[in-house]
Formats: sequence, structure tokens, C-alpha cells
Amino acid sequence: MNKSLNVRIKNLLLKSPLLTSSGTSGSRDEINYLQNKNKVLASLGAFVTKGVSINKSLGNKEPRIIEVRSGLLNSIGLQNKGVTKFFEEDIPELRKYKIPIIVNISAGSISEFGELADIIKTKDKNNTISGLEINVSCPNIKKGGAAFGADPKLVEQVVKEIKSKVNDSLCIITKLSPNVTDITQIAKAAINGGTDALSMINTLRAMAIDTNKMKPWLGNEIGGLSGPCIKPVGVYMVFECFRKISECNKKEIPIIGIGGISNYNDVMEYILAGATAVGIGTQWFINNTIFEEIHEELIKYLDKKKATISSLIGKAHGS
Amino acid sequence: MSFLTRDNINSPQIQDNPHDKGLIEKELIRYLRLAKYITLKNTNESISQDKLLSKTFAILPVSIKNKFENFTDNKEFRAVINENPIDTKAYHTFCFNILNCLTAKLDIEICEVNEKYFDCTFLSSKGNNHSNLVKDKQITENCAFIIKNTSTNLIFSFGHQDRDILQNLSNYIYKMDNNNYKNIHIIIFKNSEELNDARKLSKSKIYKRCFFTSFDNICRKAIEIDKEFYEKVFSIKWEYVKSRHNPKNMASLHDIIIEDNIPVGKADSKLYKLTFKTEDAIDICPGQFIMINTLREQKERSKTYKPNVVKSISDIKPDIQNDLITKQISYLKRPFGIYRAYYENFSDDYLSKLSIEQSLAAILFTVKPNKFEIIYKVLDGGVGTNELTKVVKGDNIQILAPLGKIFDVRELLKEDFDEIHIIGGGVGIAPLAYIVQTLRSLNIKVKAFIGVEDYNSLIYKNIKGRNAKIYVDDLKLLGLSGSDIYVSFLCDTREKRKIDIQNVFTGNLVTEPFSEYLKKHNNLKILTFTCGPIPMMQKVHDITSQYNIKSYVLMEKRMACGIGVCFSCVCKTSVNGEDHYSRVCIDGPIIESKQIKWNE
Repeated sequence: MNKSLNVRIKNLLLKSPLLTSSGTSGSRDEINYLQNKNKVLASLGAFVTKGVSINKSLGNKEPRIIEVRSGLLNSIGLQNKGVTKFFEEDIPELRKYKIPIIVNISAGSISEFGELADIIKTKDKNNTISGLEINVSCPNIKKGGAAFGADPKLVEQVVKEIKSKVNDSLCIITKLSPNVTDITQIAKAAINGGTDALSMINTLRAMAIDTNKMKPWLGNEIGGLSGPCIKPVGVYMVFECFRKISECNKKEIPIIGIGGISNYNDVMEYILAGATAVGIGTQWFINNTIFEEIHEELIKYLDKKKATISSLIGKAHGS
Repeated sequence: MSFLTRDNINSPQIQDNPHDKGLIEKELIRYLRLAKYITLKNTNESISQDKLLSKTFAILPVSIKNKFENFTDNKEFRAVINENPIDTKAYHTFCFNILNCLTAKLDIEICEVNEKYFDCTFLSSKGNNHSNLVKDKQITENCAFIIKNTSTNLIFSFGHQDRDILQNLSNYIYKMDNNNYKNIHIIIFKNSEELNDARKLSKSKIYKRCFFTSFDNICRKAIEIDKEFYEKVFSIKWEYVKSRHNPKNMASLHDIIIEDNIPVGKADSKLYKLTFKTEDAIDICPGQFIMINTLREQKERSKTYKPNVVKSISDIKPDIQNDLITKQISYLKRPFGIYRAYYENFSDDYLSKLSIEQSLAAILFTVKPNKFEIIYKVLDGGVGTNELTKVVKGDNIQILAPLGKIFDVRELLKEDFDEIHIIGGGVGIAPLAYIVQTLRSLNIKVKAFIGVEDYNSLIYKNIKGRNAKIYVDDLKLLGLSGSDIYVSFLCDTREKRKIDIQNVFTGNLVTEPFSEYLKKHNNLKILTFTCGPIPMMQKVHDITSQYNIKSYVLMEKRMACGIGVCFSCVCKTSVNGEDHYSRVCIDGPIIESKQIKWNE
């Protein structure tokens, strides 16, 4: 066990700063299809599930993805089976992974988020899950999502609502949208609402047009952009939020850096900008051995620098 | 399919010579060993002689039941009763019994080859005189005798035997057979683990062109053949008898070496055939697919050129990174269906020569394939497919395989279909050909309906520089005759006669001859696999529902991960009245056509 990779998010001790990003690693036993499953799980600090909502959601019309230069545009639309079935069918499978589970939740209104929190509290009697990631930022659902993410007051209320309903031990993470004028305002609002951690960034709202059909490529017309092309945006936003949090003396609020990570160097950029852990999503589609590769490279890097992840968080700040 | 019961497997030799004491004695000993073996296998306790004799009597074929009493005092018979522990011969007898059942209908010689004895008492359906065979003689010598004297032979041996002997034997049969596939060598392994191990590519050097099976497969077949007999008489409760054959093939990254990448058909059709070899053999089931990392380093190649494997964009050399700014390069891997698979030591046309009875084929396995072909079409502005046209012989690229739900073709044997049809349009024919390959290896009757633009879309220069016809030539190599293939040229073509198959249609869609065929043969039990443009698949769905025919389609969708995590490649379906978006990558690509919501 290499301790240089250990990080802490609230009461949650992670053996590695590498997490899956919501929506990119499934919600059940999909990893079992891979021969390197055990290596993947050994490299992960926690497993973040695909977003769940109160009721089953079919998701958006296809086509749902289009590849763009150095990135991927998607509009899946939160296809999921609903929280009740998720807890009955999928959580028992996820438990077998034997790593902390963070459930990404999504809803269209404050009261719906409250209802979702209630259901989770009743369903998760055995405290199987370690955290909740509140999706206030999905660009692909018409109602809610992005609208929440852009309004500081709503974000604060949503976090408060959920905090008041679930067990204190549950780690509450708020996932922020980059589709706002000033992300630090939203981060502050989430902190005021009582969030335990922040994760950023969700996909950037974007579009691509088929010049033959002269219509948008995606069935949903607009989508969310991910992949290497958005990494500089993500690093910047983590950097800014980390600075604001430091200024408010809220150092105990860790950030999970997400966006375009393709190798260990990208991970270190996020860590140095101020992230405590990172989420890897789109690159995982490209290379199914990405987690174990980065895990190995990080250890080498830290050995060379004679440092630990924890000691390097936010190192890029200050003189 | 009707299975034979034990009474039908009665040795014809005994029927011909009901008074031949020697033959009957050997037959009785065979049943005694069988009774002893199965009984002891189940109870693990010692068993009284009387009990054993009554068990043996219970399983005897009617025709020799009356001979039983006279033999119980026979010397050799008593010796078998007292054999301790259970002789492996008994295990062998049990396996032989089942194999004999499975081949009783065929004009075939079946014999076991063993280092200790060469037991031809089990022979033969033809009544050949095998007195020349000598115990303790070199097994290859005996084998030579068999091969020279008869036309079709099924020679079986056991995985637990001496490996050198097995190797000699399989090499010998391989050499003697000279790619005629008249002499089939089957090796029976004790369990699925040993079976899987034997199917590895490295083992193909030891066991040349062998077929493999395992004891649990044999047992499963035994229950199928005569459930009452094996279950009740011996109260068989082996857990593996009931457990379904469950192929496990998990996806992983494989390095592949390109052997060939050539254009097929007319220049403007932008169709290519890519041939590649894998380092390890991969068990890809029909309908499953692979994802290719089409991106690779572009640079001058010399004879000593060693290609680099590109895993991600960060690996790309700076000159290519410049391309990123001006030119789009692929980011995701691209999904492709398998067109054909090739097996070490098996010739390309082996399925047109080999014919194994379905019930026997159902339990046989070969080495896993290590060479594959795909056919791909370069899409207008398609980034990945364009990159793929640039790979050349010797290049090393990466694939993720195998992917997709396993469609167990062996299960189809249980449903007793008269024919299985494939209906393919254009490049959609490719993955269907791989289904045909598997169906043919199980000796299932196949009819192929294929539709292409015109004659010239079939023509290409093959690896030997000769003119070849894509799809058609390969379907023939897979054992389909000219009358099993129906070709539709969409455009009127004068070259129609050049294609030496009976059923050629011009100026119509592939669905028309298919529909005509069903009209004429409405008494047949048929199942269909379809792949092609959506309107074509929908049309086939309409036709098959009209005739109440079970129909599967192979769906293709834009895909990102290939393992079910991204929910991109969805297709709207309805199962039990409930709508949802199924993931083509893990719920398919083979989906029953009635589940698909065609108009949404």
C-alpha cells in the first residue's frame, strides 16, 4: 500500500485520489466486463455512480454523442432506472467493488432534491454509500440542472435541504457547472449551504453541426463538451475556487478536480491548482487501463519529488 | 432433433453375429464397466457385487439381456468386477458410449486410441475386420491402419494421457489427413479448465487441428440423450450436468499486427478489408464486436520499422500534434464487427470439407482463433475509418475485445430449426458471415440473402493478386453451395452471368428474394439474422413477423465506451410493454427484432 496517494475528503479516507467521474463508469457491474477489473478497482479511491433521479428516466433522443477535435460532445440526458430500483438492484452489486461509493443525484426542483434525500435515507439503512454528489449542473436536462447551477441562492438552498435530511456521516459533494459567469460565487453558495466538498467541472455546454444535413449532430441539439480540450478550463476554475476558499479561511472544503484528464501530468496540474482528488471520465472510454497507468505514474512522480499528494494540494498558489 | 436412445446404439456387429461369444462378452464388459463407473462416481462407497450386477443388467440393451447370466462367471468378467480402483477404462467407456450415440447415424468409424491398448472392440458401424490391430504396438502404426482402411474416422483420446503420445498422434493424423478433414481427432478433457487451456494458441503446436471436449460436456449430452436412463437408473446429480455452458470472455486490450488492408469493390464505394493477427487467440462469439484504436503514428517505414502503439493523444509525437490544430484526428476507438476468423492449422475452407453431425458438433471446440478479418466502409468525412485506410502490413495497433453480449449459437441447436437465414445489405453482410462461420461449424443449414449495388461492388484483388468476389467466395469457403446463396444487385447489371451461383437477381432489394423464398417454403422452421441499413432491417422485420419467424438484427450505433458505461449507443426498445433505451454495446448488438421500436 502506497500511502503517498492517500487523501481525505471530510471523514472519507481515500487510498487514491483517482475517482471515476459520474456518468462515465456506469452504475452497476459494467466494469465486470473488463479483464483488468481488479487493477481498475485497486487504483480507485472511490466509485462515483452515474446520476440517479427519483423516477426512471429514458434519456435523450439519439444520436447522443459526437466526437469533436480533442473531445467528445454528449447529451445522454441522465438515463437511469430511478433511485428505488437503483438501491435495490445496483447498490448490492456496487458493494462488491469494496471501495467507497459516491452516488450522483439529480432533480428538477428543491423539493424533489429533498424527496430524493429522504428516499436515500430510508433505502440506505446499512450505510453502504459514503457520499452524495449533488448534480446542480447537468447541461442536458431541460428542467433544473444547469438552471440550478447558475443561481447561487438555489444552490445554497439545495445543499441545505439535502444536508438537513441525510445522515451527518454522509459526505456531501456539490458538482459545479462551468457554464456560469463566476464559478467562485456558486462555490461560495454551496459552502454556505454546508457542502463538505466541491467537484468541478461538469461538461461545457456546446454544439456541433452536420454540414451535410445542415442540422445539429445531436438528437438533443445541444450537449456537454468533455475531453482533453476542456482541461485548461477545469484547471483554471479549480485554481480560482481554491483561492477564494483560502481567502474565506474555509480550507476544510476539498475540491475534486474533473475535466479532460488524460495522464498523470494532468492529474498533477489539478492537484497543484488546488484539487484534493480528481475524477477521470472521457479518457476512460479511450483507454481502459488509464486508472492503473496513472496510479503507477503518480507513485513514480511522487517518489521523484519526495512528496505526497496531500502535501502538494494547491502548491501552485502563492510565491 | 431426435436423439438416439441407448437401444439404438447396439453394436451392429452383434446384430449381425448374435452368437459370436467374443463380441458379446466384450459388449457386456463394456456395460459392466459403465455401470461400475457411474455408480461409484455417485456414491463414493464400495458396492456389493450383486448390486453391481443388477445395475449392469438394468442398463443392458434388450438384445443382449438374455446373454447376461451365462457370462457372470466368466473369468475376464469377474476380473473387471474386482478391478480396484475404478479403471480409467470405465471412464473411457462412458465417453465412448456417448460419442457412439452421437455418431450412430453416420457412416463413420469411431475408435479410442490409448497408450496402453488400442481398443477396437468398440468398432464398428461398418463391421470392418480389425484383427490386424495389435495391442502394445505403436499407436501411430495402428492409426495408420485405420486411416488407410476406411474413409471417415473419428479417433478419440483423453487429455490425461501421455502428452508426447497425444502430440505424436495428433501430428500423425494431421499429416495423414492432408486437409481432407476425413479423420477427426477428438481429445476429451476432465473439466472445462483443462478444455480452455487446450484451446490456447500455444497448445495448437501440441495438438494439431484437434477438436476438444470435456467430461462435463459429455455428461450434459448424456442427460440430453436419455434423461431418464442417466438420471434415474444412476441417480446422477452432478451439478455440472445442469449448469449451462457459459462462455466467459472478458474484454481487454490486445495488440494486433496488420497483415493486409486492401480496397474491395468499386473505387467510389470506399470499402476495405482489414486482416490482422492477434498475439493471443481471442474467443469472439458471433455478433460480438471489437473496438479499434485507429490512431497510429504516421512515419516513414523502413524494413526495420518498428511501429509504436499509440494509446492516447498525449503519446503522439509533436508533428502529429500539429495536425490536431488543423485536422481532426480520432479520439474514441471505433467499433467493428468480425467478418471472418481463422484458426491455426485449419485451412481457410475447412468448413466446406468438414461435416460433423450437429449433436456431436455441439460439444466440440477448436483452438481459439488468432487471425481475423473485418470489412469497413469509409464514411463521408469519417475520421476514424479514414485513419484506418492508412494502416499497412506490419503495423501494430490496439483493439479492445471481445465486446457485446454473448449470443450462444449452440443454444439454437436445441430449437430444431430447419434453416437459418442471413439477410445482409452491403457492408452489413460482414458480421453475418461470422455468424455463418459459427453456424456451419455446428453443421446448421444456412441460406444467405445478400444485397449489393452491382457485380463490381463484389470484385477485389485478393492477397494472391487474383480476382475474388467478396462475401460470395467466403460464404462458399464456409461451406455454402451456389444454391444456398441469393444475390441481389440493386442496379441492373450485365455481368450477372460471371457470378457462378444460381440465384442472382437484378434491379431489386435483398428483401424481395427473401420474401419469395418464404412464400415457397412456408412449412420450414426458420430463424433469421439481419444486418444492413435501418429501412432494410425494418422491412425484414415486417416480413418475418408476417410469417411468425423469429428474427434477430445486428444493430449499429455511434459508440464511445463499448462496455455499457456511457449510454451513448442506445436504441429504443420495448420489453414486456415497457419502453427503454437499450445499450447496443451490452444489450446487443444482436437484438430480437420484435423488441425494437422501429418507428422511433
